[in-house]
Amino acid sequence: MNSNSITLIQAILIGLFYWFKGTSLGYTFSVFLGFSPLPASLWVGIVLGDIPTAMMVGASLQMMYLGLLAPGGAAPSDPCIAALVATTVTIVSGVDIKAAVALAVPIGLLGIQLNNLVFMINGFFAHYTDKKVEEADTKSLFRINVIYLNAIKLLFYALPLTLLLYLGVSSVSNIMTIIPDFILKGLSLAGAMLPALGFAIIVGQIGKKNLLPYFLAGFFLIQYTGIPVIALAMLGLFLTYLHVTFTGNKTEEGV
Amino acid sequence: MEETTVTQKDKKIITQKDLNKAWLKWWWTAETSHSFERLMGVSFGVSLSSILKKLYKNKDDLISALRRHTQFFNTQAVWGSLIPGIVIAMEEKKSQGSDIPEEIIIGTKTGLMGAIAGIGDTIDWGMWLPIILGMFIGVAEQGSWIGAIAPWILFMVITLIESYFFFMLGYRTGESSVEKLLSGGRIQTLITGASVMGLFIMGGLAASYIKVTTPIVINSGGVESLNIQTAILDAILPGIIPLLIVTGVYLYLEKVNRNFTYAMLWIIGISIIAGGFNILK
Repeated sequence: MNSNSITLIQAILIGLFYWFKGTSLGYTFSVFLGFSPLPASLWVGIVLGDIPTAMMVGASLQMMYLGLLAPGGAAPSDPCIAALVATTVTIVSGVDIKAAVALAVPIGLLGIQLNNLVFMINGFFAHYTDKKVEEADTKSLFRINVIYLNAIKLLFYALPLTLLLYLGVSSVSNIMTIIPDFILKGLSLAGAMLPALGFAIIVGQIGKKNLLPYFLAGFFLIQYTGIPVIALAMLGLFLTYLHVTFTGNKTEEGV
Repeated sequence: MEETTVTQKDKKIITQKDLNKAWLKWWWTAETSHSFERLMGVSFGVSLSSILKKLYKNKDDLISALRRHTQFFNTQAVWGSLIPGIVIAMEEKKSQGSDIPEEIIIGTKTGLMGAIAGIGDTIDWGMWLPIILGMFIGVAEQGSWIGAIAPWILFMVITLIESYFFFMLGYRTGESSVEKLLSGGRIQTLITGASVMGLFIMGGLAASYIKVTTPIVINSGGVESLNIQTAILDAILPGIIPLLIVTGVYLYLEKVNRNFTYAMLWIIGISIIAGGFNILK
């Protein structure tokens, strides 16, 4: 693309996608977008007319966010807005995908603050709901918490992102081209190291120290053989079966 | 007198259609009104509101039922579908004159939500999701749209089936289902199994996706140069750098600070220095 910016319609369409993620409607249908940047990248690819580039950006981001978990609903970063911005910048400015991935990191961290803001706003709706509960008005419960509440979210998700992309994409793209090599290399390394955080979080969450050797087993199996994930999963199922069968009595005593 | 109460207790008022509707509402709205104060609490009440209205003809009873189900509640909404299912069964009995105190219903909700969230998070977000994504990242990398659509739909279908199953299981067996589930160590076995599977897969994915190496090359004597990565590290233990990084982050989270944002900032800071000075790449 040679114009170095996007049209208002395109910015609105991308903003609306972020709003849909923000609504959390349809549970895993939209919550998935808070864990995987792939659909967001695809959407930008469709809107801006370059699906292959978009998917490559999405795949690079996905590796970084692979182990992302949201314990108790508190995600540490937001891959959706990160993907929407980074994919747009890559397609519009043609910068290196690695640099775009690095750009995604701070965007994802800032984006999660929007979530926190909305969690606060939702508190007001909870109190409004309480009033309707006292009137036994079940129809309003649905209307408040599904329609009004999600309409308000347009202001907190769609609007800021649409404005940012419409007004800021060309300047962000320009900045990306003048970032010194030193920083770019560092950010690119950060993109490669950040998946470690996801894995560390998952291992910590599972939290069974006596099972940690299974992590090492999987790690070195792939490191030495490079077998596909499906093969790894099948072997994993077999190992799980063995473990559960031969330690069955012990785990039951542990209840 | 007593006989009539018994028959009343067993009377089923809620139809499969009511249940399907309530489940769909739960699925559709479980996280939408998430707030710091109530978390999923309000959504729980919204999902059950039609059923409660059907059960409690008396306005005051309906109000207190709605009140107890819009308070704080948080779980993982897929496996956690068991809880609204159980609660509907309990409310149905209560509305038919069974002597179930409010505290028992609330206690059942709050007592189960944590344990079930732990199981659900481990299996859905910790196991299914990374496995599914791992299968399709390669497709996405080649620029194909299938790499985005396939994992999205596949994950949704799997969790949708789980959720429907647990919701209906919860209703059918009521609070006894949990006792059955928790006794005999079946859940414990399930968690252990999921942990083994999860750790094994995570180990494999960590090896595939953390690709950090060192570009350091030592020039000794000018002619022979020594590539640290290929000549030393790969010979001793391939993947030692990624493994050290994961171990480092894990120990940081376990021993120093469980704040993920700080951990992320540390990683970025260290990366900029190590990457900028060509120590790692």
